[in-house]
Amino acid sequence: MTFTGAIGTICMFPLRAIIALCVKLRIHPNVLTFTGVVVNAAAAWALALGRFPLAGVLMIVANIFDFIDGKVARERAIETKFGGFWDSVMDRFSDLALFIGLIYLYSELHRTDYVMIAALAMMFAVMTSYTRARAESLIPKCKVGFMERPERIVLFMIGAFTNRMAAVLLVILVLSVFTVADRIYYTWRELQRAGASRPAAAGRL
Amino acid sequence: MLNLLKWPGRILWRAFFWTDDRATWQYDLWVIAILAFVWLTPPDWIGDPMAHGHGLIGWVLSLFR
Repeated sequence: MTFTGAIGTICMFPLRAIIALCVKLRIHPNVLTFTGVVVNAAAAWALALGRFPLAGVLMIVANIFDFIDGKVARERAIETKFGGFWDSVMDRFSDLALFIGLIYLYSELHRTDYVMIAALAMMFAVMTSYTRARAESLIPKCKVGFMERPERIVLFMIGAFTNRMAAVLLVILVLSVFTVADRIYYTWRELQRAGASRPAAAGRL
Repeated sequence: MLNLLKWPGRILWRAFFWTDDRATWQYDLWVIAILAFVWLTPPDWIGDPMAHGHGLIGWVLSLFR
Protein backbone atom coordinates (compact mmCIF):
# COMPACT_ATOMS: atom_id res chain seq x y z
CA MET A 1 0.00 0.00 0.00
CA THR A 2 1.20 3.51 -0.78
CA PHE A 3 1.62 5.96 2.07
CA THR A 4 -1.13 8.29 0.80
CA GLY A 5 -3.38 5.21 0.57
CA ALA A 6 -2.51 4.29 4.17
CA ILE A 7 -3.34 7.82 5.38
CA GLY A 8 -6.68 7.62 3.55
CA THR A 9 -7.48 4.25 5.16
CA ILE A 10 -6.63 5.55 8.64
CA CYS A 11 -8.78 8.68 8.16
CA MET A 12 -11.74 6.55 7.05
CA PHE A 13 -12.11 4.93 10.53
CA PRO A 14 -13.45 8.02 12.37
CA LEU A 15 -15.29 9.18 9.24
CA ARG A 16 -17.25 5.93 9.06
CA ALA A 17 -18.46 6.50 12.62
CA ILE A 18 -19.53 10.08 11.78
CA ILE A 19 -21.34 8.86 8.65
CA ALA A 20 -23.16 6.19 10.69
CA LEU A 21 -24.17 8.83 13.27
CA CYS A 22 -25.53 11.17 10.58
CA VAL A 23 -27.50 8.31 9.02
CA LYS A 24 -28.92 7.38 12.45
CA LEU A 25 -29.88 11.00 13.18
CA ARG A 26 -31.46 11.21 9.69
CA ILE A 27 -29.60 14.41 8.84
CA HIS A 28 -30.26 15.43 5.24
CA PRO A 29 -27.08 15.44 3.09
CA ASN A 30 -27.91 18.88 1.65
CA VAL A 31 -27.90 20.26 5.20
CA LEU A 32 -24.46 18.72 5.75
CA THR A 33 -23.22 20.34 2.52
CA PHE A 34 -24.53 23.75 3.57
CA THR A 35 -23.07 23.41 7.08
CA GLY A 36 -19.69 22.70 5.47
CA VAL A 37 -19.86 25.96 3.53
CA VAL A 38 -20.78 27.96 6.63
CA VAL A 39 -17.84 26.47 8.57
CA ASN A 40 -15.55 27.12 5.58
CA ALA A 41 -16.67 30.76 5.62
CA ALA A 42 -15.61 30.87 9.27
CA ALA A 43 -12.26 29.37 8.26
CA ALA A 44 -11.89 32.10 5.62
CA TRP A 45 -12.58 34.70 8.31
CA ALA A 46 -9.85 33.15 10.50
CA LEU A 47 -7.43 33.22 7.53
CA ALA A 48 -8.27 36.88 6.94
CA LEU A 49 -7.33 37.61 10.55
CA GLY A 50 -4.09 35.63 10.19
CA ARG A 51 -5.25 33.06 12.76
CA PHE A 52 -3.94 30.09 10.81
CA PRO A 53 -4.22 27.29 13.43
CA LEU A 54 -7.89 28.18 14.06
CA ALA A 55 -8.46 28.30 10.30
CA GLY A 56 -6.87 24.84 10.01
CA VAL A 57 -9.20 23.36 12.64
CA LEU A 58 -12.26 24.96 11.00
CA MET A 59 -11.16 23.64 7.58
CA ILE A 60 -10.94 20.10 8.99
CA VAL A 61 -14.47 20.38 10.43
CA ALA A 62 -15.84 21.93 7.21
CA ASN A 63 -14.32 19.27 5.03
CA ILE A 64 -15.61 16.45 7.20
CA PHE A 65 -19.12 17.75 6.39
CA ASP A 66 -18.14 18.12 2.76
CA PHE A 67 -16.72 14.61 2.58
CA ILE A 68 -19.56 12.78 4.29
CA ASP A 69 -22.55 14.39 2.54
CA GLY A 70 -22.38 12.15 -0.53
CA LYS A 71 -21.72 9.04 1.56
CA VAL A 72 -24.71 9.80 3.83
CA ALA A 73 -26.91 10.29 0.75
CA ARG A 74 -25.82 6.88 -0.59
CA GLU A 75 -26.28 5.14 2.78
CA ARG A 76 -29.78 6.58 3.12
CA ALA A 77 -30.52 5.90 -0.57
CA ILE A 78 -31.61 9.51 -1.13
CA GLU A 79 -29.11 10.49 -3.82
CA THR A 80 -30.53 13.08 -6.19
CA LYS A 81 -29.20 14.97 -9.21
CA PHE A 82 -29.90 18.22 -7.40
CA GLY A 83 -27.81 17.01 -4.44
CA GLY A 84 -24.81 16.58 -6.78
CA PHE A 85 -25.39 20.00 -8.30
CA TRP A 86 -25.83 21.62 -4.86
CA ASP A 87 -22.61 19.98 -3.64
CA SER A 88 -20.59 21.24 -6.64
CA VAL A 89 -21.92 24.78 -6.31
CA MET A 90 -21.28 24.90 -2.56
CA ASP A 91 -17.74 23.56 -3.15
CA ARG A 92 -17.01 26.58 -5.37
CA PHE A 93 -18.25 28.94 -2.64
CA SER A 94 -16.00 27.20 -0.11
CA ASP A 95 -12.98 27.38 -2.41
CA LEU A 96 -13.50 31.04 -3.20
CA ALA A 97 -14.11 31.96 0.43
CA LEU A 98 -10.71 30.61 1.51
CA PHE A 99 -8.87 32.48 -1.24
CA ILE A 100 -10.76 35.69 -0.44
CA GLY A 101 -9.74 35.33 3.20
CA LEU A 102 -6.08 35.16 2.17
CA ILE A 103 -6.45 38.04 -0.30
CA TYR A 104 -7.90 40.17 2.52
CA LEU A 105 -5.03 39.19 4.84
CA TYR A 106 -2.29 39.99 2.34
CA SER A 107 -3.92 43.28 1.34
CA GLU A 108 -4.06 44.27 5.03
CA LEU A 109 -0.32 43.49 5.18
CA HIS A 110 0.22 45.64 2.02
CA ARG A 111 1.68 42.66 0.16
CA THR A 112 0.50 43.23 -3.40
CA ASP A 113 2.70 40.37 -4.64
CA TYR A 114 0.87 37.78 -2.55
CA VAL A 115 -2.51 39.42 -3.24
CA MET A 116 -1.80 38.74 -6.92
CA ILE A 117 -0.53 35.20 -6.27
CA ALA A 118 -3.65 34.37 -4.22
CA ALA A 119 -5.92 35.97 -6.85
CA LEU A 120 -4.27 34.04 -9.68
CA ALA A 121 -4.39 30.79 -7.69
CA MET A 122 -8.12 31.47 -7.11
CA MET A 123 -8.66 32.07 -10.82
CA PHE A 124 -6.94 28.83 -11.83
CA ALA A 125 -8.70 26.87 -9.05
CA VAL A 126 -12.04 27.97 -10.51
CA MET A 127 -10.83 27.24 -14.05
CA THR A 128 -9.76 23.74 -12.95
CA SER A 129 -13.38 22.96 -12.08
CA TYR A 130 -14.82 24.81 -15.07
CA THR A 131 -12.60 23.12 -17.67
CA ARG A 132 -13.61 19.68 -16.40
CA ALA A 133 -17.31 20.54 -16.23
CA ARG A 134 -17.27 22.02 -19.76
CA ALA A 135 -15.09 19.22 -21.15
CA GLU A 136 -17.43 16.56 -19.79
CA SER A 137 -20.27 18.13 -21.77
CA LEU A 138 -18.23 17.24 -24.89
CA ILE A 139 -16.32 14.06 -23.95
CA PRO A 140 -17.22 11.29 -21.48
CA LYS A 141 -14.50 12.01 -18.89
CA CYS A 142 -11.81 14.61 -18.27
CA LYS A 143 -10.19 13.54 -15.02
CA VAL A 144 -6.62 14.62 -15.74
CA GLY A 145 -4.33 17.02 -13.91
CA PHE A 146 -2.95 16.77 -10.39
CA MET A 147 -4.29 19.78 -8.52
CA GLU A 148 -7.93 18.97 -7.85
CA ARG A 149 -10.06 20.14 -4.92
CA PRO A 150 -8.98 17.50 -2.35
CA GLU A 151 -5.30 18.31 -2.98
CA ARG A 152 -6.00 22.04 -2.64
CA ILE A 153 -7.87 21.56 0.63
CA VAL A 154 -5.19 19.34 2.17
CA LEU A 155 -2.53 21.85 1.11
CA PHE A 156 -4.51 24.71 2.69
CA MET A 157 -4.65 22.72 5.94
CA ILE A 158 -0.91 21.98 5.85
CA GLY A 159 -0.20 25.65 5.14
CA ALA A 160 -2.44 26.74 8.01
CA PHE A 161 -1.13 24.31 10.62
CA THR A 162 2.56 24.75 9.77
CA ASN A 163 2.39 28.46 8.87
CA ARG A 164 3.65 27.88 5.33
CA MET A 165 0.73 29.41 3.44
CA ALA A 166 2.92 31.36 0.99
CA ALA A 167 4.66 28.18 -0.23
CA VAL A 168 1.28 26.42 -0.40
CA LEU A 169 -0.19 29.20 -2.55
CA LEU A 170 2.76 28.98 -4.95
CA VAL A 171 2.30 25.21 -5.28
CA ILE A 172 -1.46 25.58 -5.81
CA LEU A 173 -0.91 28.27 -8.44
CA VAL A 174 1.74 26.45 -10.47
CA LEU A 175 0.03 23.05 -10.39
CA SER A 176 -3.40 24.55 -11.10
CA VAL A 177 -1.99 26.22 -14.23
CA PHE A 178 -0.72 22.83 -15.39
CA THR A 179 -4.02 21.14 -14.49
CA VAL A 180 -6.03 23.62 -16.57
CA ALA A 181 -3.56 23.23 -19.46
CA ASP A 182 -3.79 19.41 -19.13
CA ARG A 183 -7.56 19.53 -19.36
CA ILE A 184 -7.59 21.81 -22.38
CA TYR A 185 -5.02 19.64 -24.18
CA TYR A 186 -6.73 16.38 -23.20
CA THR A 187 -10.13 17.62 -24.39
CA TRP A 188 -8.66 18.84 -27.70
CA ARG A 189 -6.91 15.48 -28.20
CA GLU A 190 -10.02 13.46 -27.38
CA LEU A 191 -12.14 15.56 -29.75
CA GLN A 192 -9.54 15.18 -32.49
CA ARG A 193 -9.54 11.43 -31.91
CA ALA A 194 -13.31 11.29 -32.09
CA GLY A 195 -13.27 13.40 -35.22
CA ALA A 196 -15.62 15.81 -33.56
CA SER A 197 -13.51 18.93 -33.84
CA ARG A 198 -15.80 20.42 -36.47
CA PRO A 199 -17.19 23.83 -35.56
CA ALA A 200 -20.08 23.31 -33.19
CA ALA A 201 -23.45 24.74 -34.04
CA ALA A 202 -23.70 26.63 -30.79
CA GLY A 203 -21.49 27.84 -27.99
CA ARG A 204 -18.65 28.94 -30.24
CA LEU A 205 -17.64 32.39 -31.39
CA MET B 1 21.94 7.71 -26.14
CA LEU B 2 19.01 9.54 -27.69
CA ASN B 3 16.66 7.29 -25.74
CA LEU B 4 18.50 8.15 -22.52
CA LEU B 5 18.10 11.85 -23.26
CA LYS B 6 14.40 11.34 -23.87
CA TRP B 7 13.80 9.87 -20.38
CA PRO B 8 13.90 13.13 -18.37
CA GLY B 9 11.48 14.65 -20.86
CA ARG B 10 9.14 11.69 -20.57
CA ILE B 11 9.26 11.80 -16.77
CA LEU B 12 8.52 15.53 -16.73
CA TRP B 13 5.71 15.10 -19.28
CA ARG B 14 4.12 12.34 -17.21
CA ALA B 15 4.52 14.35 -13.99
CA PHE B 16 2.91 17.50 -15.36
CA PHE B 17 0.47 15.92 -17.81
CA TRP B 18 -1.01 13.98 -14.92
CA THR B 19 -3.29 11.02 -15.73
CA ASP B 20 -2.52 8.66 -12.81
CA ASP B 21 -4.87 7.92 -9.93
CA ARG B 22 -4.53 8.88 -6.29
CA ALA B 23 -2.82 6.44 -3.89
CA THR B 24 -0.30 5.25 -6.49
CA TRP B 25 3.48 5.42 -6.06
CA GLN B 26 3.59 8.19 -8.68
CA TYR B 27 1.11 10.17 -6.58
CA ASP B 28 3.23 9.56 -3.47
CA LEU B 29 6.29 10.97 -5.27
CA TRP B 30 4.39 14.14 -6.13
CA VAL B 31 3.18 14.48 -2.53
CA ILE B 32 6.75 14.07 -1.21
CA ALA B 33 8.05 16.68 -3.68
CA ILE B 34 5.30 19.15 -2.73
CA LEU B 35 5.78 18.65 1.02
CA ALA B 36 9.55 19.03 0.61
CA PHE B 37 9.03 22.34 -1.18
CA VAL B 38 6.47 23.59 1.36
CA TRP B 39 8.42 22.62 4.47
CA LEU B 40 12.02 22.96 3.36
CA THR B 41 11.93 26.21 1.40
CA PRO B 42 13.00 29.00 3.75
CA PRO B 43 10.09 31.47 4.16
CA ASP B 44 12.51 34.39 3.61
CA TRP B 45 13.46 33.05 0.16
CA ILE B 46 9.87 33.35 -1.08
CA GLY B 47 9.06 36.49 0.94
CA ASP B 48 6.38 34.80 3.05
CA PRO B 49 4.35 37.63 4.65
CA MET B 50 3.40 35.52 7.70
CA ALA B 51 6.51 33.39 8.39
CA HIS B 52 10.13 34.34 8.77
CA GLY B 53 13.51 32.67 9.07
CA HIS B 54 15.63 30.45 6.92
CA GLY B 55 13.87 27.18 7.73
CA LEU B 56 15.50 23.77 7.62
CA ILE B 57 17.55 24.42 4.48
CA GLY B 58 18.92 27.64 5.98
CA TRP B 59 19.86 25.80 9.15
CA VAL B 60 21.69 23.08 7.19
CA LEU B 61 23.49 25.70 5.07
CA SER B 62 24.53 27.59 8.20
CA LEU B 63 26.34 24.45 9.42
CA PHE B 64 28.68 24.65 6.40
CA ARG B 65 29.44 28.36 6.77
